[in-house]
Amino acid sequence: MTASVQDTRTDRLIRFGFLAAMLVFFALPIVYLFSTSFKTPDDVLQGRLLPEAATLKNYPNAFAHVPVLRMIWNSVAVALLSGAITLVIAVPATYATIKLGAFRRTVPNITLASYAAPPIIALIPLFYLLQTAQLMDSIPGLALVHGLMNLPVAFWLLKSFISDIPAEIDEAAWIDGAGYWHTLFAVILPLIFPGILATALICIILSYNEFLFASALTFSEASRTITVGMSLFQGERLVNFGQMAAASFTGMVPIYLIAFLFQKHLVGGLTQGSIK
Amino acid sequence: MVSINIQNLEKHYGKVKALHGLNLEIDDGEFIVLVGPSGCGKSTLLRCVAGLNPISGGDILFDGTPVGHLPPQERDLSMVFQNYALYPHLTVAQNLAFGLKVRKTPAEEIEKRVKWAADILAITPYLDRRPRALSGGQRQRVAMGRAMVKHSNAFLFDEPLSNLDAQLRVQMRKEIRALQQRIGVTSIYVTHDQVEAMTMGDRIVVMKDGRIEQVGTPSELYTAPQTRFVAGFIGSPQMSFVTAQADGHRMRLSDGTFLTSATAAQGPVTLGIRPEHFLDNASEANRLTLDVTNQQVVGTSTSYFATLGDGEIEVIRQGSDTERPATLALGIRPEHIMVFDKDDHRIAA
Amino acid sequence: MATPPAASFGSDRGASQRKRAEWSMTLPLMVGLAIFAGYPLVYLVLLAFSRSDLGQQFQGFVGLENFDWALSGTHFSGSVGHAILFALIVSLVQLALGLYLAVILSKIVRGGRWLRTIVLLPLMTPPVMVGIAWKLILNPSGGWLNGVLLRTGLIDDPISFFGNHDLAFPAIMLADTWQWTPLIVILCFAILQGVPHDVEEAAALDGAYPKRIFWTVTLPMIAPALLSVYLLRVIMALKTFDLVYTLTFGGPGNATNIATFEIWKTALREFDVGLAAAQTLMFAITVSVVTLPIVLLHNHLEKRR
Repeated sequence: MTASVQDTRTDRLIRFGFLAAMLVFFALPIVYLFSTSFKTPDDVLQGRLLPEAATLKNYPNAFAHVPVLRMIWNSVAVALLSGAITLVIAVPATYATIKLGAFRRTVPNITLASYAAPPIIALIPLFYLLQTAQLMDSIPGLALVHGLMNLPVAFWLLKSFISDIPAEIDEAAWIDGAGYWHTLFAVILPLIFPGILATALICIILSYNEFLFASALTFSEASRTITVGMSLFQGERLVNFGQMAAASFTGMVPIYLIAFLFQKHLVGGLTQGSIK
Repeated sequence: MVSINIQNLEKHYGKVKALHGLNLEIDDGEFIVLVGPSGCGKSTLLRCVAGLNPISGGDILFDGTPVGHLPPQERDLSMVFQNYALYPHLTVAQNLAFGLKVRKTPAEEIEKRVKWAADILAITPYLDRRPRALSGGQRQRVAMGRAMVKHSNAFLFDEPLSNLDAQLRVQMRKEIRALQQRIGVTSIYVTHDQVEAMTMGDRIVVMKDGRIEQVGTPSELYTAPQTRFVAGFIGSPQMSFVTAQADGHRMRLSDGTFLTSATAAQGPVTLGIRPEHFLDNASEANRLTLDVTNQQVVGTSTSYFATLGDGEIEVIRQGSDTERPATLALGIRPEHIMVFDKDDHRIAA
Repeated sequence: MATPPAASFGSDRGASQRKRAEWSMTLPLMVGLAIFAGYPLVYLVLLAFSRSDLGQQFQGFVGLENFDWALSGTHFSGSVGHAILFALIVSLVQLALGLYLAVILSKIVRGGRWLRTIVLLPLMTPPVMVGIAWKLILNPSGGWLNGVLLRTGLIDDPISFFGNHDLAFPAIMLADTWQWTPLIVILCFAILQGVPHDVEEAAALDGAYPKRIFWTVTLPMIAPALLSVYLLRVIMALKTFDLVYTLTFGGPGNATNIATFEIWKTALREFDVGLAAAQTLMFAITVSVVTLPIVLLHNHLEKRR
């Protein structure tokens, strides 16, 4: 009996050690990036966790070197617009599939298949499509691509939220005389609002973070997104790490704000959508 | 408020037939109860009337007008669901008003009707609350209120009381029935509970395997069930059944006992006797002495179980008898012995 | 009695209203997926059998030439191998780490909010920035890890993780694991929350110790769910592009050249769109072949329950 108690104690130590190590692992790159953004070029070469003589200069210098704020604004605009496109398309379709049984098998299957397909498949054809539609190198063009890209994700996230609403609620509304669209707007939307918020946030983040399409479909300053802009630092011969860190960190701020403000919704959305 | 006429109604899911050509006439203002074991098609029938399930054949007529092709939105019905299906994001008042708003009823009319329903149902104090903040009984009343305000063609009830505890259920039965009589609205009420059916319905429709077994008033079903199934389903405790060989009015059981029935038959039959129809000793014709195998005291009455022929019969007697007697001396009137043929149809006396 | 007219579905107003709603609600999704997945697939097939460059497509039908060239004359098959190896390994490592972390977290009652935030941040970070952050950590000059190793005297010269043939791939995997283990933690945590307590309690009453209960009771119960998570992660990992682009650009040599990056290079650096299309099709088929066994195993486990 005593042995088992001691076992538990070492178990607990191992567990605590592992947890602590993982938390350091998760935090370290972000902390180091943040601290590097305050380092002078000489300081950077020391490879120490904290700057020796912190400087704020990297931020204005980086902003002067690359239009960071403009690119963040482009990213935010694309993300918001694409999120709206995704939701406008996905919410009614998910409702019809789950509650009206429309194309009950087809829709889940094709969404799953198009999610599994590597996005590189769509890159070249979409390149020509945007060119033909005169949407190349524009915020609406990239937003459209991202909006369509996120449809499968939105469908699977919304699916679980909508199936949680008992069928009788819809039926009561129909018997009360409400049409199918009316039922969706007046009854279902308010009920799945947390789910819609979570889905919107996840789609917005996916769009903001996206790089492959953005790099191929935007190139001018007017539409280039922050992820594309940051990748350009990689090509430079002499990278100023301090400035790069400052620009990167600034580019991460909008996403981290969302993570702080809506962590409950995000975690809820991720788990609901994938587990059920 | 309409009369409802169900004609040759069929419903199948793929190859599976859920309803086999049902015919049923419901009078204006009548309270009809659909009862039967689970899977008998009673809920499917109700949902077909509501328009929630598309029908596969036949038609449904309201006051002679076919409505089978109409969507649920256009049938002008009210429905009370088992889980109440109140709109969780709306207050009680908004729940009641929803259907009226959809139909573009003027605001003052909505207010008047909501107030009227809330007064009758005694839910006025809760009008500003959300359904979540209400008890089961209160939610049930709100669901009733939502049905009432609409002045609809008919009320449809889908096992509305099965989520309530026993005491509340008995009370709500009375309230629903009183309310229905007050408004005079045609009602179809689905339940699997035969006691609920017996106490509430003007007429009862007993269903089995997608077919109507029998339609009748509660007393008709009790005294003159047409099939063994109806006889066994209606009445509590259940009717006891024993097989016998009939020769006119004389029925010979497998243990050699003879019983005399008011009904005449020939050949193999099944006899049905209700537990409450055993008499202490009165009948000249059928006098039995049975060994008691088991006994249950149910408050004011006591159930005894005994073997008769090849069946186990239940005998119910007034009073609570805590000591189990070894034997019971009983009599049965010939007219209380129902006789069913080999197809389980009751043979008329 | 005359047979009443059968309520036929087509002329039925209720059914047709409902059909109309169904169509109007789902049509945009269908069109969207047709644009994003259907049209590209058709376009790709056409491109794959033609000589096409970025500026001018469909210069002529070339049969299987593109496929032939992709397999024999390019680094494509190696890059597919890299992609599969990468996906299977990182997913497994992340599943193990994530599950263990979720088990630990499910025993912790307090501090959930802070832990959740720390776990959430890597997941939310744009992959390009993940690359930058890890570049800062692993860089030979000014990288934190080299700094630590040099200061503690474990090494004398800084290591170039991304320039080393043997270390570059593990370094990318490390960055990928940093980003995606949190997702596994969140999913596994939810899976563990869904395990009914009574079974574990029954096992405890039978005298089993927590560790044993986990291996013999909990794990078999959650195995199908874990496999779904693994499948999801493999599918996602097969799409990896950004990390390779930012960290190594496929190098050194072709050491970290994975299929998506190879296709990207062929199309947007060498402008041979026809060849890239053939590569894409072959990669898509490979993805289905790789994920199919996992799907089958999952269905098998699901059925056994």
